[in-house]
Amino acid sequence: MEIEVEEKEGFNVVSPVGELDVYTVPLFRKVVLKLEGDRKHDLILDLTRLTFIDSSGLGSLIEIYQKMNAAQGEIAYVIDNPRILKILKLVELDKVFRLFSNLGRALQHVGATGGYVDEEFFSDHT
Amino acid sequence: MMEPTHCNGSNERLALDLSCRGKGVFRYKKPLDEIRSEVKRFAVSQGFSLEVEDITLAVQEACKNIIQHARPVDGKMHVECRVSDGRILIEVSDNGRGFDVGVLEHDIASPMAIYGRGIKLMKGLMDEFGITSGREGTTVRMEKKRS
Repeated sequence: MEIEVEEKEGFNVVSPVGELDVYTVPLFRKVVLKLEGDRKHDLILDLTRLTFIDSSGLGSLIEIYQKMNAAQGEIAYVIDNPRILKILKLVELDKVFRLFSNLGRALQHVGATGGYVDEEFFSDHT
Repeated sequence: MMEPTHCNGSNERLALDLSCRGKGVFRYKKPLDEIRSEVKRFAVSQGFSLEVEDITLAVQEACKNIIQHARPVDGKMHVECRVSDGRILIEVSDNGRGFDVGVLEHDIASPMAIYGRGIKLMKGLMDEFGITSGREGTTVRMEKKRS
């Protein structure tokens, strides 16, 4: 797995590429939690290039969510892969995370609105 | 480490054994990838298509639990797949130390639960899911209907 990190419009945008599973979670945690520890920006996890996620990968998303919340930071998730969205829905994380269908929408709305957006998109992908 | 075998001279059954001696899940990446690959190949050969990704993820979750928690006496996990009446029937078993299945019922209720997410995932991915566990080990039984 490769992980791309960039700063966009005041947000840290982290994009894991490939599989986020029990084997790649340690690297992903290390990269993201280092950003969180030195937090100057809110965080967007761009998951549009994930090809696979397992329960360990889901656990890392939850851990990051909890740490960002504890630090009173904003965090959002960008997902356009119906397969990845289905996995999140199976464990009901779609009810907890702020989900966006593309990065542009996330950049536009994180910090500006509460709740969820793109409800039509996400309700169509079960 | 792993010896995939097609048993009974039939393509309708797949039996896999995987050695899981030693600690740490990372040393099992290659065998687990091979299990995913073998189960996928078997399911596809039996006419499954849309369901294949669900099936392989569920099997991986079951195997991962054994590696991380079970400590099998014989140092092995066993995966068996059969197809009957348009359904794939999967058993993933070990003869490890077992656990109290009742514990899961409390924790998996919450999306933010620390433990039990793999179980919740398997339940959601498959049409039927059951788990039995005791002093003689643990067996996960799962079914998925062919669409």
